[in-house]
Amino acid sequence: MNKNIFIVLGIFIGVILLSFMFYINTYNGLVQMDESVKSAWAQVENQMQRRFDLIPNLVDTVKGYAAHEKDIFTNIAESRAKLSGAGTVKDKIDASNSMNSALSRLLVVVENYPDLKANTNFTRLMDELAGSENRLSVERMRYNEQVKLFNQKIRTFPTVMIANKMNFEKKDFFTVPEIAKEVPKVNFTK
Amino acid sequence: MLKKLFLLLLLIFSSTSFCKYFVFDEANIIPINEEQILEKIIWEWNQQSGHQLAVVSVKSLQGMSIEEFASKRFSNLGIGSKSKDDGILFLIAPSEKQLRIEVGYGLEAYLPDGLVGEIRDKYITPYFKQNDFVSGILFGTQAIILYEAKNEGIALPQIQSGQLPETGMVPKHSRADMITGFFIVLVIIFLLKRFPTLRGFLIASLLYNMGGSNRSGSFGNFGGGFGGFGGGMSGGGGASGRW
Repeated sequence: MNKNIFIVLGIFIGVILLSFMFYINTYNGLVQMDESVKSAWAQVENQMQRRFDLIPNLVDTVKGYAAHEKDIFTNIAESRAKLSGAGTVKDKIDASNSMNSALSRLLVVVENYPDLKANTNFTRLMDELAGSENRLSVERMRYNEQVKLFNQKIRTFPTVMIANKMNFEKKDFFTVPEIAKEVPKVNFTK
Repeated sequence: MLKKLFLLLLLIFSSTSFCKYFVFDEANIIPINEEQILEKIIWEWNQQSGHQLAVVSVKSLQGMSIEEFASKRFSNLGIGSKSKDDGILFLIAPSEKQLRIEVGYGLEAYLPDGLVGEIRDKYITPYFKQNDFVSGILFGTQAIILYEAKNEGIALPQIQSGQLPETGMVPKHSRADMITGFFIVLVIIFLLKRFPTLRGFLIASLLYNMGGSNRSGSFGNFGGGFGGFGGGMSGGGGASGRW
């Protein structure tokens, strides 16, 4: 009789201990993954900021040659304001995408100004911009990889039980609409 | 006699072809002599700065964009150290007529994209357009290294004491070297023919000289200096171009 109670008690404590350990492990793992997603996102934001900072210079240079293309400039200014006002990840992704389209429109306009294209300062800025776009796409890819891992993790059993309880939510992918994916290319060969 | 001559030639050439760390000429566009010059330039910079640069020519981009390909190759090779990410990749795809200079995270401050683009337009694409890959690659590599060193404040005494490459410099150099080498071989052949007794002495002194110059030269210490690429990553910095 006494013996049986001890066995049951032992099993009970064992199960509690085991599930507690499982809980801690899973929770820590999730926190770590959450942090990697956040740091990947920070890199994305860095690159967004880099492009953001580049734009006034670029716009000034273009204005010197094509001051009357007012639509383009207001467009860019608007998308820039949108990005600085964006708070959530989702808003920032949207703002960044709208900046993409504003910039690619600028680059189409630039095609009509051969003098501008020959300007060294402009060439430099264009390289900086292309570099910025490329950096952004690299960091976007790395961010999406982290998000994919995280989303997979929180939706698989048994992690899903803990993830739900601890309010770990699915993260947003950084997707780019098909039109914006085409990195604007300027052809400098005359 | 012929056999001995061949041996001698072999000796002379092998004295200049030792290291093969930084250049991966998969598309076969760089002659061996120029490849050695490249290796030496990069080696010198690597010794002074600790950074790494890989020159890679590829047969095909396998349908990828050059940016994507460069970023993959960069992390596969792991150019630069893991902690500093201070590597550079100079990628040339002759069949696609595209090139990219990808700069690792750690060197972005010294080589901003605009500067890299300028190097591309000034020192690389003009030559590539004339199918002169060797000059473009040599000038480009030198310019990258010299600008990086200048911006970081590193002295490179062996490479033109900090001067930026001028047109025609490197090929002239290599041509002069080749001509000198040719004359040395001629003189040796002549001497060997005229004074057979000198052979032993000549070969011995040649060997000694080579050993000596290897020891005293800045490129001589190949044995333990370079331990391979260090696992560096890039974040998409640099510039690409077509020609």
